[in-house]
Amino acid sequence: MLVRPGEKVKVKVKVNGIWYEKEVEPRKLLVHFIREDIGLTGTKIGCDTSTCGACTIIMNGKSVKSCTLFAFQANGAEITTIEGIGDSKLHPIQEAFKDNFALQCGYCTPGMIMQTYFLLKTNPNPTEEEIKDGLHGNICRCTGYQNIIKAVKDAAGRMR
Amino acid sequence: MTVEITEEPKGVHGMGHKIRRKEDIRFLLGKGNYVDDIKLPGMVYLAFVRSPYAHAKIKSINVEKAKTLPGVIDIITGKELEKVGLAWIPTLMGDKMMVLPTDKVVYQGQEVVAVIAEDRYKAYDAASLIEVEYEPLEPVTDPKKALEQSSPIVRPDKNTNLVFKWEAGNKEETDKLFKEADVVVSQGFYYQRLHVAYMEPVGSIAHYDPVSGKLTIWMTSQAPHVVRTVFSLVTKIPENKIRIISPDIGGGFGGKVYVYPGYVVSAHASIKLGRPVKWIATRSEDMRSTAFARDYHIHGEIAAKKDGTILALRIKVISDHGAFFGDANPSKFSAGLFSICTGSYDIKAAHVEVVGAHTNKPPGGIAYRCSFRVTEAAYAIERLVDILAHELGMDPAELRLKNFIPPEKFPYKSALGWTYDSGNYAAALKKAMDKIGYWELRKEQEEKRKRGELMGIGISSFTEIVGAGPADLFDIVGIKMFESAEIRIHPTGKVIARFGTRAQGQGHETTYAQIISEILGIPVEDIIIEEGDTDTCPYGLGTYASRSTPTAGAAAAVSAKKILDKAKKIAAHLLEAREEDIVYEKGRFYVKGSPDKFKTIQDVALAAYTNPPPGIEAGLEAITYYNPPNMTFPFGSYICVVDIDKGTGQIKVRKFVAVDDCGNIINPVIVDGQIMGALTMSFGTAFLEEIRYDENGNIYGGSFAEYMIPTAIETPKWELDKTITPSPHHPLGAKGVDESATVGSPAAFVNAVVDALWHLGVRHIDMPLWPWKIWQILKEKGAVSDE
Amino acid sequence: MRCNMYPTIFGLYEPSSIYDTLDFLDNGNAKIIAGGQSLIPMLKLRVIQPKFLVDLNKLRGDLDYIEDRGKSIGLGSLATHAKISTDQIVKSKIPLLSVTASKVGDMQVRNLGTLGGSVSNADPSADYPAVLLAYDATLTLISSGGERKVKASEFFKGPFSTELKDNEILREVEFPVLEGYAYKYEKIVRRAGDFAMVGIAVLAKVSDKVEDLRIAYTGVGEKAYRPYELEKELVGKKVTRDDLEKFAEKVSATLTPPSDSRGSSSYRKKVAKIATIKTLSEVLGVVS
Repeated sequence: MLVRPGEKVKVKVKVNGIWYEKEVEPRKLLVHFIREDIGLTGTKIGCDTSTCGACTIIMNGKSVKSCTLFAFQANGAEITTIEGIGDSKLHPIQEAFKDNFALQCGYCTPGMIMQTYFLLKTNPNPTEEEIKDGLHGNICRCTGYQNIIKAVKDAAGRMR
Repeated sequence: MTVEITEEPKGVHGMGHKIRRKEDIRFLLGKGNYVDDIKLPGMVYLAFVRSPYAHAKIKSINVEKAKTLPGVIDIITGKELEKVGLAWIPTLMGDKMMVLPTDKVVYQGQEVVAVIAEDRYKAYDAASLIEVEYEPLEPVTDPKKALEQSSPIVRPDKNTNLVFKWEAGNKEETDKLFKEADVVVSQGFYYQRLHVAYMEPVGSIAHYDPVSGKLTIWMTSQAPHVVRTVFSLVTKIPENKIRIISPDIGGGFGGKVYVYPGYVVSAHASIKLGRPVKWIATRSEDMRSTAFARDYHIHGEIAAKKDGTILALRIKVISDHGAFFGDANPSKFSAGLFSICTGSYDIKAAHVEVVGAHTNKPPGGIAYRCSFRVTEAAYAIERLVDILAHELGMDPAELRLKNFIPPEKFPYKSALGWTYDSGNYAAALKKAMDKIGYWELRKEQEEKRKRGELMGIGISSFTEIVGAGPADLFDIVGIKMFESAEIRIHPTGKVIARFGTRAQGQGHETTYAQIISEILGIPVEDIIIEEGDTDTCPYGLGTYASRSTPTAGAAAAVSAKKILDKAKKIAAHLLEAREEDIVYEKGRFYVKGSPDKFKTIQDVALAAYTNPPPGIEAGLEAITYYNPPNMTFPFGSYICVVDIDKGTGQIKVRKFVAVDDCGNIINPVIVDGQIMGALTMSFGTAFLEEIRYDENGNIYGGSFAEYMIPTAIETPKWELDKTITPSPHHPLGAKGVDESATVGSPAAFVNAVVDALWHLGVRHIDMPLWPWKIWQILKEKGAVSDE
Repeated sequence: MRCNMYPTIFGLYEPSSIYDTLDFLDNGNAKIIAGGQSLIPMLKLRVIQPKFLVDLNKLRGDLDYIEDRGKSIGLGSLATHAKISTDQIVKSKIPLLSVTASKVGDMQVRNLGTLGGSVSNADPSADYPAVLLAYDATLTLISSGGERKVKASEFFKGPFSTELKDNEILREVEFPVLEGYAYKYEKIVRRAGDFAMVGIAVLAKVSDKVEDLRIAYTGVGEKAYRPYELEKELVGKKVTRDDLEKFAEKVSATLTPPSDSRGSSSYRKKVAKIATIKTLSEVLGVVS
């Protein structure tokens, strides 16, 4: 398939259980596609260097930084965003973040929760070191991480 | 794993309750509403062309190629803004700043031309097609050189780089004590340039309604009301036709007090185009052009007797303000509250002088989670006291204990004129020493030193000054620094309360509700807190400098008490008793002696609308503009233990104990969260973060990939404790806490590292304490090991 | 001012086979995108502005594999860092690669980033090049003209520069299975997630003496570096602490790290020296 420069490409993705099909420029980043074309603004943009992790989502079961991914790369993929993990009530991770005061300004929170979601899926009982290693691609400027680490441990307990 | 927090925000939860945060649900669900989340019909996007030079004349701007790009709606230059009087606007410090330049650029990354296009990508495409021809001019990046006669002049509208010269204290008396002193210790400190690096970059959406003539701006602002006033004065738009909305703010830390060119240009563009205009800085744009913090060149001297009694303090500072004086200090305080630099010590005389300079760097001098230069002050005194102790061969803890202002001396008038409200400094330090096992650590250090190992213990016993402030002293652009709270109780007993502050993570929706709940006995889940909308909230100065609890928190308490006064009258009417016989206890009113027959605050609220007493007007609400009688003075003692690798210079923070005293506590877990967050930011300051420029004014890095914010991996474990010394003048005895740890901890980190190296002849190392800096020093001292 | 995050306009080619891809590359001005973790940041900064991207992801069936060939393991260029770090074959047969993969970037980056993407990008501070040198891996490059095999030692040319031509793609990296080797990847960073200030990959076969030693460095020069000659000095010996110090000193003297925000050149040489001693002590079981 060839899309010439300036032309659009058809992207079909399943986000939080719903299929969307849109025509977008090949250069459109997935995070903009999710936030602007689909209208799910829970996923945040915190940097432009793939450093901060605020844009973390789950794509085909794996956590990825949606600012370092083009929308076309997600064609055919299943995506879960912060809006999609709760199923009309708080997910245990969200509960644990709340109960442990693991957020302040809330801006890093969606990415932090989505990364935790992936971490606990691959490692349901992480040690403190494993939690830190799993979350170091997500920057929080408010909390100092201590309550986030507590929340992840707590969430692991709740999900067992 | 057990969860320690047990209380849902339900029921009557006043002071001291660890209730979960009311605001969290929306953030957890991804339903927070930040500026970039807002999408309006017909909205267009603004991007800037930015200067590659720190100092250059603009010879020409060619927009022809960009204009013809499909999707480009408008291109705005400084010349256009000049016609409407918007090329320059006032700063909050009485200086002025360029919105877009007309003749020359004064720092790298400065906004030069604005492009409006249908989407963000196109806006940046067009920006890259705009050809700006520059003639580079000699830049000045060192504030000391900037003050020399021969220096290039940064500003086209000034003939000097001198921003201000400010002094405080008694010079004569200070000089006299220095002459009489047995010991004088002096040291230069450079407090490096930092960026607060909130997680949400700055941005705005301006929406001008041509029919009503109303301009609404959603803005990442910590102080929306003042911005409205300034906007009205500058644009001549009537103030009631400007509405500033600060929606959820993704961290501010002082960086979002400043008024950025993007806010102004988006407003201008929206008025011109009649469409909503969104401007969102990319992270790298934000790092390179928004206000920085610190950049203080401090020279401190301390005079003492042989026995360690401190006599006097003398400090000179050269502060770098970049191209525009953009601090957000109260207007009488060019150097902010730096005159808190006598710290926790009973010092007879002091003199401080601060000289501000312009350089070809981005503007600012804003705080970094600190109250107006208080961090710089605490750092200077706590470093000096530590050096003095080492010079005298005294233990740094003992020297501090010897010189602390004793508890019985409060209220204490400092040598530089502040009246400290309350304090018990020795109690906090002793608690920290006990908790960390101070004397055992000293023993361990001695043994390790014998083995050639490097271990250090650093103390910082800081005193802050927050809660600006009393109206006679404090104003921002002439507006007194009061703070407001309006409480309305509806007939069914539900409450909405509105404030002039704007939280950016501090948890106001919870703590303010707790204050109201404490006084009125209304369950916190029945109280909604609103902030950040200038159309609906009472006027306020905003949230920064740890002022919300001391000022708005007090305003909430006073409003609640006003309501209680009226409620008592209504209760008396309902209970058919005299007002003076009514007893009030936690939401219940009863006649003295008959506690079983009571009316609840909810009964009273209903009666306020359905059955008000004769002669009393209906309704149950109150508004307060609280003018604090004094500042509050939170304090604490921090102790840090470090181990240094002699091979690589790598430093490990092994243990860190923070004992804080912020007076009475509203929500202990929120308080601890603020402290841990601020400790982590300052850990970044001490060990990782710096904004650097080369001599041509080119920034090093300037992105999140290069600006080293701590991650979960580097961040040490913080151990917290408290002492409680209430403020005598605050209605709740509270003092404010958000910034204590940013203020207090940098000196603890540096003191620990220097303590580890003192015996090698090291007196001071400037932050950030990068391992290669330490290694270089070890090498110079012949102390590097190969292990 | 490179502070953008919006790439320039480009077209897209989604090939249906490797041969399609190669034919398309012959037209020029196209960049291959695999996981995109190195490429997309450069596109966002507009450092590169290709006319077309060629999306290899449709070719996962052909290029995302880990194949046990007995004496060697072949990894398709689209294998992700996450897959490499968790795959059982890699873990048991070429464990140095496995542990290194688990230290690349952060977890999210590892979920997308690929072996081929990182290796082709040849960042002088990237992790894999040192491991490829240590294993003496063989890279298979293909173009419309055919296939060629290149040794890792010849593949890396300089900063972001490799043997790959514009119309070639990296198809596979093949690692020999080295039985009975001890291994370690030591990575020293300023902050988690950053590229290596110094990275050291070691493979060693040790009996009562050192039978074989392979040590390679990243972050300390224009490209990954393996001191072949110096390695020999430790082979055949029962290595002592003293030997290690001398070895590390000599290696360190040959390194040419840049002075940059990750530290001065002399500092990085010193760190490399200390890390060499530490890593080799562990791997060779030298008691200090």
